[in-house]
Amino acid sequence: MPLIETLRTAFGATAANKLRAALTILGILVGVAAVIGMVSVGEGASASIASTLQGLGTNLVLVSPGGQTTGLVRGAGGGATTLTLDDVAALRAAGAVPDAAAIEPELSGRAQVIVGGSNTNTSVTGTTPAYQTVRNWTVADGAFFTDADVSSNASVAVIGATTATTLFSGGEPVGQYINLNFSSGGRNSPVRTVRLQVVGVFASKGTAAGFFNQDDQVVVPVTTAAQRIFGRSNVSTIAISATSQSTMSNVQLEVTQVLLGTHHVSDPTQADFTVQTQQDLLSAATSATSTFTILLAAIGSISLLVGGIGIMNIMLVSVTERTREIGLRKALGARRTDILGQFLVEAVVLTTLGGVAGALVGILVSVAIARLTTVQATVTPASLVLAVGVSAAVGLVFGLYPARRAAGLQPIVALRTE
Amino acid sequence: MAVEGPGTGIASGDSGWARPGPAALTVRAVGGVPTAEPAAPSPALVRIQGIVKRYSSGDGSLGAAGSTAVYALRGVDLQIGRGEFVAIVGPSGSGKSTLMNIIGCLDVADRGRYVLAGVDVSQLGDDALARVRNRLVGFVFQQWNLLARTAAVDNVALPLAYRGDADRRRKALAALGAVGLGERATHRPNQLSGGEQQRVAIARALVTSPAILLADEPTGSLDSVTGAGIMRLFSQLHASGRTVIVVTHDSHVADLTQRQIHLLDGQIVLDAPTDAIRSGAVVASTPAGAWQPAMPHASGV
Repeated sequence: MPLIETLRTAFGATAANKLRAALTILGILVGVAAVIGMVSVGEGASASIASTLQGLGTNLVLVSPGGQTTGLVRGAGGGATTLTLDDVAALRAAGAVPDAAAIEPELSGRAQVIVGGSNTNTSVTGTTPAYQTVRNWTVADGAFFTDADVSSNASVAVIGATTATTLFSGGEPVGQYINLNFSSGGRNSPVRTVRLQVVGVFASKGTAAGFFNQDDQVVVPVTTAAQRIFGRSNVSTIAISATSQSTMSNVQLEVTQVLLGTHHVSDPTQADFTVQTQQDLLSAATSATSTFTILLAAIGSISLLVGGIGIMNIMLVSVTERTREIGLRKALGARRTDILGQFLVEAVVLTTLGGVAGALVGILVSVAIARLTTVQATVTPASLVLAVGVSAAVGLVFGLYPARRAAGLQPIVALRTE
Repeated sequence: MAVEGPGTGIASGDSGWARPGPAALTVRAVGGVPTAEPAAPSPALVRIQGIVKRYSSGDGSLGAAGSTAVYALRGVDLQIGRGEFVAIVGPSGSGKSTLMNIIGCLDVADRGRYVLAGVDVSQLGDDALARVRNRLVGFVFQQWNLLARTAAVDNVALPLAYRGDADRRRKALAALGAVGLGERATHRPNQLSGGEQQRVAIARALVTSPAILLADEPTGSLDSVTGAGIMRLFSQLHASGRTVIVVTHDSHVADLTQRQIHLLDGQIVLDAPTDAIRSGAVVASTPAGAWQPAMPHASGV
């Protein structure tokens, strides 16, 4: 039997039982739409995390205190104090890290910022002017502080766009003064107050991340942060911008060599610091979000499975109803494979129609999710192809048993059936 | 094309049961002497030797006391020549449907040999039997068995589709023309009368140019006038050289054929030309009541 004839028969049989076919297709449609919708949420989360990590800087290599990290989780190293400004000086020494374009320390903490009646708790980072290059920041209003400010422990600050809005509610921040209250958190620890003048406001990067608001920050000279605010000289991060994407791994090696020397560690596995490239962070985040995506896809697949069982059910009914037709076809010369093919193609036609319709509904659902919620939902072409392919496969798998039953019918038995 | 010649159109005018006109291969009994074996051209198209078919009932296990095997056919020998017009006659339970199924290769006998058009089909598997049915047998059923929602021409083309014949539509249209339904090729079964549907079924049986045309109670679901028209069509097909086998319990239908094979209790009790039967020259024998299969069977020992 030519395939085109088999297809025509399958569409004819589908059209003959429109309501039944529609309900069966609906089962597959819901399953496919669920898979696509769920996966789009997962993919959207991945994409937004990836873009956030990309936005952290250009060709970024990050050095953190403490030992190796697993995934994104760093053991107790968060409190490690093994990186110092001396390490930064060693890295900056001529020829130490030839593939670095810029190196800056980041001495971070949180502090209460007060202006008149407004106050906010925000992230405070002590750094150098290289911060702009390495972390991809531009100053929209005013200017970044200078190397001279760093040498003189100047009382200046550059604030994020959100911080500016919070504290000055639309007024001009540049030239104004802010008070930073910091307490190390220990019992009876004194609250240090530092008065700083705002010299610049960063251009907004947007708040795509969802975890934290990059635009809510106060940046001060690293010396000011170390000596006047936090009272410590160990840095939280050393951020390095490589000269190009291809030299990032060189930078990683060079930095490791230098720091192993300054820390007097001979065995790299015993290093008390961690050097990661942006790619490392990205792949760690990706592996986390892809687990999430797989979970969502699995949930969606359950409804696809239920749809598949619906297909099997309806095909069994169809075989029973059309026993006489099967007998006739066999009497006229249809072989086992002809009958098998006829019912398989019919099942695949049903599920593929469901798959295509489900893909369209899935796209609508993810668009709706993106419109109505803050969750990003991205439909990838791969998930569409996969959904339609999987629904066709569902037809094959769940159509096989009914089709085999049809093919195995004896013609006289089938013809005798009323 | 399968059906040709001017004689195959629908004859109109007379109604009711009418004997077919004299045809080329009419076998007449001369001088009242029955001819048990008609003067068929050799070799015989259908050669059946010692066919036994048994259906088990009860628990069905062989040899178990209490299981009963029902013999539908108890050793049937039969030859049908090319171009014959034969009726297989018998009451229900006589085994005529079983015999028809075996002749049509829908079923295989438990014992015995069956050669159809030179092909020994006794030992063939399912797919090979399907092929034989497609090539050698044209079926006409009592309930015509057309596919609903499918145009007449596509119904007729169906057997050709299973052999991948690209020219099937043209052949199907020609076959419909031959049974007088050329104008209604695109009609669906529910737009056709019972007689027209049966003509479509006959066209479907003819379209493959089969060795035998096998009709199971072809007039059983039709009124007598329409049924007579269908039988006239079979007569015309026979006149054009086709081998036609009609299975019926109706003696009126059987009398329109040229040779009758009467079955009773799974055995042939009469095999004679219709003329001889109508003239009373031959009568049916009684079935051999003591018949026992020659194979080991449930004896309860």
